[in-house]
Amino acid sequence: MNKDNLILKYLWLLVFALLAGCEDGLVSGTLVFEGTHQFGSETALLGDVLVQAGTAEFAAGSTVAGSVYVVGGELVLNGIIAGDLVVLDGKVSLGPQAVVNGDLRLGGAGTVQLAETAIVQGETITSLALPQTQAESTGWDGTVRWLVGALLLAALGGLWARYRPQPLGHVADAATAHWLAAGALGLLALLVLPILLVMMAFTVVLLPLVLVLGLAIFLVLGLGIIALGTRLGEWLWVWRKRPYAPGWPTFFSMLLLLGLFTLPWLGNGLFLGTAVLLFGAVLLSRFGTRRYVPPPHLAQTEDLTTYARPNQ
Amino acid sequence: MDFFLYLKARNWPVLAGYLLFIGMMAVGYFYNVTFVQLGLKDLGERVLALSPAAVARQMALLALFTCGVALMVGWRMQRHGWSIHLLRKLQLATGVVLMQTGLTAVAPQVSSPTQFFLWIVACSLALGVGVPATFSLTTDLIPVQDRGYAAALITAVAYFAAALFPGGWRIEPFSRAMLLILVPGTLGLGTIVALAMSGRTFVAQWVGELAKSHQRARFANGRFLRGSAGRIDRRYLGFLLLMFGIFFIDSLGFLRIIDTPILVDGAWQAVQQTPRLMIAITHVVAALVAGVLYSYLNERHLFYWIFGLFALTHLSYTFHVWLLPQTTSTALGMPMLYATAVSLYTVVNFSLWADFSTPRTIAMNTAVGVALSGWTATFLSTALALRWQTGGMPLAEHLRLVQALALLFLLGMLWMKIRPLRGTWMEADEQG
Repeated sequence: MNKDNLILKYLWLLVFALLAGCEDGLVSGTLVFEGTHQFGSETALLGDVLVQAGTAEFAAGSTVAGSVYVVGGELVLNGIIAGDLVVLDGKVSLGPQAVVNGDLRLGGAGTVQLAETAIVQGETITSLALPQTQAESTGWDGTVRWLVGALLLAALGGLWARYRPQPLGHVADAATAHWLAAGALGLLALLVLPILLVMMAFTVVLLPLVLVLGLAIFLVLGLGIIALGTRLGEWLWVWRKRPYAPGWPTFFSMLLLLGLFTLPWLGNGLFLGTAVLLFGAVLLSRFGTRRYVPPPHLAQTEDLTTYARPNQ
Repeated sequence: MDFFLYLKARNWPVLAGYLLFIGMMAVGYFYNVTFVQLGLKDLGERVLALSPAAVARQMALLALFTCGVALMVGWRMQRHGWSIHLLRKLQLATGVVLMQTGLTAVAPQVSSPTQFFLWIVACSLALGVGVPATFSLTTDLIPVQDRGYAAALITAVAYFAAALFPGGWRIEPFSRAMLLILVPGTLGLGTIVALAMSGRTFVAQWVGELAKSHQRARFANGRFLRGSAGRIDRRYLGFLLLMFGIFFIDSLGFLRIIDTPILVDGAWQAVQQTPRLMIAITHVVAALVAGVLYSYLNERHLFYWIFGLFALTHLSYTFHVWLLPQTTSTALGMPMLYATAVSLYTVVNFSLWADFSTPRTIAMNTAVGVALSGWTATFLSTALALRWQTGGMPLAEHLRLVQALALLFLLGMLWMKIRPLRGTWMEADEQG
């Protein structure tokens, strides 16, 4: 099975699951996930049917008011489908008394056997699969595209650092001075948030919020990377003993940082670790609006006699 | 972290105190979550063939007895000044470990409901004494700054071992494995106490030094003390309510989950090692994260995470039961979320009560905290879960109610954060 079909299959499954998340009465449907399910001649299913695995057998006289989606498993049909029959994968047999009032849509690795007397009222469409992946971009194309993206982000970072440096400073302080807390918070957030987004998507009603939250995660990471770029710029410029102005140092250090993320092997790990740290730093500094101050009980004294044995 | 500064200062007695506390509490907690809670269920249901309802009643009884004993012992410890008497606390802890060793050894021989009842009462007694005696060691052995980290290590070790335990939650392998830990533990702790009492050994000198730790500023008063002198006040009661909610939600949900094969056979009770290993690793990572966050964040933030995670986990389980009611879940996302939430709150539970106390009040405060939040919540949630189950409540509805309860607590906390009512514990916390 090629990648596009796999994506399409799970997309259908997701769509069906989202619909299944609605209240009873709004939408109804039937899922076949395993085993053999026989629907007799008296069966009249109200909604759509999804066959993901296992076998669904519809006897002559049975009806499905909606459409039938086959994304795996086997469908043996002798009844009537009022909507479309969509076959993405698996095996479909349309028996002598089978009737599909809508279209027969074929895509991917599914196989369909039609008896001579089986009826498909609509069209038979075979171009259901997603468009094939475009030709691989050449090395130069990829490099140019990366360079343009990196330059834009670095320019944004430079401008931000030039005109509104304070929020970036708060985030950078949290990431560097309190890296342990930032890392822990980032790890927890990035472990839980993806699961939360999926669960929210299941409710259908919250789908717009999922998109907003997804965008927010993206922006939080962007803010974090710019903040780290600013701090890296400060360090580099101090090291070069040049007068410091935040715009250009941030621009160049962001390019350096983004370049490091593209390194083979090391780059992915570096990006992941940085993302965890920065995500936590942005949260700790409340999106850069406040300077994170640790609780007073964490204050330490450098005087080791405080920690030594009483008789020492 | 103070630990590294004590290491730099070569203060070996204090460092050994860390080791003693973390080791003792980790073993104690492992004993509590596995042998007492899970072993008791197996002993009742499989060995004695009692009904699940009867065993649940016995578990509720255990919780109630333990609560009562802990409150009584905590009160007596505070009244007699044992809270600041390290050797007395170690003596009590040794007695508890000795008693638990005996109870562990006789557990597989329990053969009648009467013996089962007596065994449970004895377990309650040991646990009830153990809670104030061991939790109050915090003020002698762990500096305030490192309490979150110590709690994280205790939680990580206990849950890692519990999740990986290969005995299939049966009382016989539990008993054998626990004796392998408890017998040397009893001997070790007994030896420390005996040598400390003899007065002339290096152990006595060590215990003597540790006994003065609570007089040092870095050990003495918990981080949440704000003019209350460590007495139970409104803020303390607010956090008691929150911890009660957490224990109640966890117990109410998990009691039903462990009775549902499709939800546990691919996770906590999986035949293969991999799912259990993943859960064990999640416990460790989450505990360490919680240890750091407990130290660095305002304590309420961890509660937001905990209630949010419980709501999310039960929502996931509800979806699974709803969509695939016959299929054993092999997706590890749900148990891993659950493990994360449990590790977070366990770390808080190990540190919170000590941080609301002075050395004089710690025994009573931990007894009230653990007994009223932990044991009372367990008792009530067990009773409620039993009532729901015997009343024929469907699994999905049960889980949905638990999820709703978690959300209610979360929204309640957020509401009070946004609009703190005048004079409430949250407002006091904000001003503090």
